[in-house]
Amino acid sequence: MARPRLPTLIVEVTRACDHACCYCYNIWNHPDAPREGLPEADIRPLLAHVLDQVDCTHVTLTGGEPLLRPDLLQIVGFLAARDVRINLITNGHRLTDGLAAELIRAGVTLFELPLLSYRRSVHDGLVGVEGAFDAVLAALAHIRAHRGQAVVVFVATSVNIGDLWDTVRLAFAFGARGLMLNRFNPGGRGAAHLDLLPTVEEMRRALEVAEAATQEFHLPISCSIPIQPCLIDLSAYPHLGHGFCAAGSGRAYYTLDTAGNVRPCNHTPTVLGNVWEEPFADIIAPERLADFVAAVPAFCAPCARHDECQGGCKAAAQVCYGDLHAEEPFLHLNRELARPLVEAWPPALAGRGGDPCG
Amino acid sequence: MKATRREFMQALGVTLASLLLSRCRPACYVPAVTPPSGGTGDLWDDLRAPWEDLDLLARDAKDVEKGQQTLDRLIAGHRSALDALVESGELDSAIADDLQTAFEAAARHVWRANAPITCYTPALYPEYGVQGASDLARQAEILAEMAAQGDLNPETVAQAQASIERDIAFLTMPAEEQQALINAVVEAAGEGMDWPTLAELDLEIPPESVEAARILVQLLLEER
Repeated sequence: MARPRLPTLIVEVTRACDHACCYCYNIWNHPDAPREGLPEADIRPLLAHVLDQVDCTHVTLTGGEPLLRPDLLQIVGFLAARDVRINLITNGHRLTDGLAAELIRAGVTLFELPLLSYRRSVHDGLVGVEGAFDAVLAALAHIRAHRGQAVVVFVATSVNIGDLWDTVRLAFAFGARGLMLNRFNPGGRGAAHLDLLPTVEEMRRALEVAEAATQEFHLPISCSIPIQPCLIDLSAYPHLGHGFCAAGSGRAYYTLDTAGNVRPCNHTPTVLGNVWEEPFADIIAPERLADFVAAVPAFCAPCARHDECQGGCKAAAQVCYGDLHAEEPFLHLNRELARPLVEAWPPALAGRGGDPCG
Repeated sequence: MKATRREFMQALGVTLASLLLSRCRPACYVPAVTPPSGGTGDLWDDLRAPWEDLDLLARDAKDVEKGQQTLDRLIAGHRSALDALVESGELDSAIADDLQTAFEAAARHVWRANAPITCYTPALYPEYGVQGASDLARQAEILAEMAAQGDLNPETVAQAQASIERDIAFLTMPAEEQQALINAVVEAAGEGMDWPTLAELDLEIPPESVEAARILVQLLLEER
């Protein structure tokens, strides 16, 4: 039987973290999440067990904060020896010059670091730790000095969204190879901070800024967290990449924790199965994923683009409202602004103030 | 939990689609749609056609818009073929509805499995490469400007500036030195053409080049 092909596998190498980001989506940081920890033992046998079963040449290491694992270099070296390209998602706080050099030499091909503002106070305020801004910029400088590559992640919240332009400039100046403009996606600790959600108008302005910035600085910018086309006409920003939920698609990024549990993505608590108990191919079989893939809010059923958009991030709906079929917060809180994308739009919605999206 | 009739038909549709796309012969699924004896044949051919076009859908789905159009066309075509069969009395309408449920699930499964959509772009950028000279000069300019505003650590700024100068120095290497570098790369690659990354090469930028880079940066910052 052919091995399932995975474009990427997300591995949560630890739940520990030295930051306290108010926008954090880690499921174990949700107020109602179980408090038990996960094994922190050597995960190389687990990775070997999985990689033996799938055709996967790209792994993203995340956490928590991966740099808190004392054996991270060994994990990177192990993956590199298996010809796997490695992304490392880190807050950069512990990325010294020497460690950056070692990680790049060991095989990290891309670092993903948060850069939330060009202002120290804003960045540090959002991550809840003083010194984080200086640390992440130092990390970017170390990576570049050792000819590594980094992309920065700008989580757009109501607090920092106005800082986007200058933050892109700063990222560019530090040699970032791309920028991920992710609107705040409530989940984990962030589920208790819905006030951080930018408004539709703020998000529209941010996309305008990003569209201009990507051309000005030749910096690829992707908006991975879904933005519903009924709320904002994404065709107005042709130079940006726009993402939608990949669950069940050929680009799905399954998420593995240190206990061997597999989830459809790193935003959902839904566990599809455990790799120590059954084959990976069985865990990601269509019938196992069917409920997750099929979940689309009733509000979105008549929409012409519901197959593509699926209402946004269903994991956010699940975490915030307890139901995969619910409208996720960005849609739920802005549904009166949705513009009809089909003629047969629900009467309850049609005629509400015309088409605010122009 | 027991599957509902709808769920069963959806699962059946997805299974059949998977078989079809794994190059299983149509015989795998024909029993589900074999025309009863006395059927006209043509109408059943019309019903079969959308199933046989699932591989076309898989190809078209690589382009989201084109794939969506094909998806809609196939679903509509399948419904239309079913309606004709019901109208001709060859198929019960309830069974037709089940068949449509199965096909829609199959088509949507094929579309999703092939559509280039993702909410995580891991940014598979190529190995480290020196950016264009104009970008490097712009980086130096912005770095200097933002550093002057005072919210950046001077040591960090110095390290970032040094990297920019190094990269500019690389770009300003004379042709013969660049050729020497290329030769070094080819030699390091060996017969197996196992190309080293730039980071694996022991590059030494001559002091003249570093100085040239510094001058160039100053020049572009209008400090010279």
